[in-house]
This record gives sequence, structure tokens and C-alpha cells, in this order.
Amino acid sequence: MRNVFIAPLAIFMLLIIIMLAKLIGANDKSSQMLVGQKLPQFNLEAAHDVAPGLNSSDFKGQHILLNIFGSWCSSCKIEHNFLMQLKKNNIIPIYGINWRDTPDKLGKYLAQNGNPYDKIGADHTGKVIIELAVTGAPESLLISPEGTILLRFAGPLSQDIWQDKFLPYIKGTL
Amino acid sequence: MYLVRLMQLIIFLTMVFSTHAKAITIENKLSDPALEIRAAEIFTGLRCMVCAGESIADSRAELAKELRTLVRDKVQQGYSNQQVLDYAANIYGDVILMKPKLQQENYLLWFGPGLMILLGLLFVSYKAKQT
Repeated sequence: MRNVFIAPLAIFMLLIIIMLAKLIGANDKSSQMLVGQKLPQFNLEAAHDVAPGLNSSDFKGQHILLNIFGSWCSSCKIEHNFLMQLKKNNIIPIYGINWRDTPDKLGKYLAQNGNPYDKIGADHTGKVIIELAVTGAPESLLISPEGTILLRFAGPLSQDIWQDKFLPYIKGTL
Repeated sequence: MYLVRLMQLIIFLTMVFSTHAKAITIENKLSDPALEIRAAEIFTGLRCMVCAGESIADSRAELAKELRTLVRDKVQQGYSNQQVLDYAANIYGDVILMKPKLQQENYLLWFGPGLMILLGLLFVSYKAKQT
């Protein structure tokens, strides 16, 4: 390579590296929204007869898993078995926000796959999920006994993710 | 043979023009056209957080639809364009703004390209003078 190109190329590469770093940093930031803050106030009617509705004041006294899902969401089906395991083994209460669904479809979904939720609030208009800075379904938030958002995870939960990210908070090692 | 070609042309044209088809999800546009126009402006200023590079104006993602509903709500409540953008940025972070804010950490982003072009021109003129 001719000497004359080395300096501009080096400067260019440096700028690319800086911009890439900023870009990756920005992606991380969006997954940290509201973490450390108190859960925003909301009140949602019951999405179906099988469980009561959900109010933000319900989050107290113990760690609770807030799970945003919909019967239309294929990734939600993937994590559903794991949620059932959590429920069966009494690991943590799971409260659900049912995003843009109908009682019919939700009823079928729960009848077919089981119901891991103690409470399910219906968000027909998407207002609450926006206030929670949710970016898609499924998304799960770990709420502290004081009602603070400790952790959020976008995507289907699994044993590995639970152990890696969520368990340390509950065991108190974080 | 001619018929096959004709079918191919029809299919091709259908594909080309269907890029403008909107998903058949029902969205309640604002009844006041002036407000709906403002809402549309604001759409182009907010990023669809789950689709690379798209604004919520064109995106069919569920989240984009919710964000459009939010924008319409706020516009109807009397928020200014900037207030709506600020509201969204408050929830999702500055990353949701299509146009990065002009603050210290973004100077490189705003001025970097111009700076590089300037440096490039200076470099080229320097080399030209040498020969």
C-alpha cells in the first residue's frame, strides 16, 4: 500500500471504531430503561376469568416476575414451558400483561398450554407497555419487594437466562 | 411462451407496487386532519426500536403501532411536536430519536463526516502542492 494512504486510512479506521463503540453502547442503553426506578403506576382489568387483573401496587412484599406476552406471539410460546416450570416449582410469582389480545384467544392459549400467571392484566391499547418501555413480546421484568425494577430482559426466558441473570438478584448475591 | 412472459411481467409489477401496501391493522387516525399531519411529522422523528433504521412512520412492527398511538394521543392532548419527542425519549432514551440531540457526546456524530471531508480535501491539496 502506498505510504500516502496510511494516515487518512488510520484516521478513518479510528473514527469507525469510535462510532461502532457508540452504536453498541446505545443498544445496551435501551435495554436498561427504567432499571433502578420504581414501577410506573398502572391499573389493568383482568384479561380473562382465570386470573384477576393487575395493578402496579400489587408488586410488593417479594420478588415478582412481570411477563409481557400475547397469544399471537410465537416467541412467547417458546418460553411458556419454562414459565410453567417456575410456577410448578413455586420459584417466583408471575404476573402477566396480556398485550393486544382477546379473552377468547387468551383463554384458548392458556387452556392449551397451561396458566403460569397469578394475575393477568389486559393492555388492549398498548398504553401501559409503552410506559414500561417495552419493545416487544415476550419481555420480562424482575420487580423487587419494594416495587423497583431490578432487571429487564427482552426475549424468551429459559433456564440458562434465568440462572445467569435473574437468580443472582433473588438469592441476594447482587 | 408469450403468455409466460406476460405472467412474469404481471407478477413482477405486482411485487414492485405492493411495496406500498400497508398492513391491514386498524389504526385510528385522528379526526382533525391538521393534528394527523403533525402526528405524521412526529412519526418520522421517532425510531422503531425493533427494526433497524426505520422510523415508526413506515414500520409495521407492533411496537411501532403502539408508539404511533402514543404520538396521536399526546398530539390530541395538546403536546407540541418537541414535547412529544421529549416524552418518548424520556421513556425509551435518546436512542429513540431519529435525529440525535446536539450535545457533547454527539458532536463527533454531527461534525465527524464534515470534518473528515475537510481533512481529506486538505490532505489532497497538500499532496497536489508537493508534486
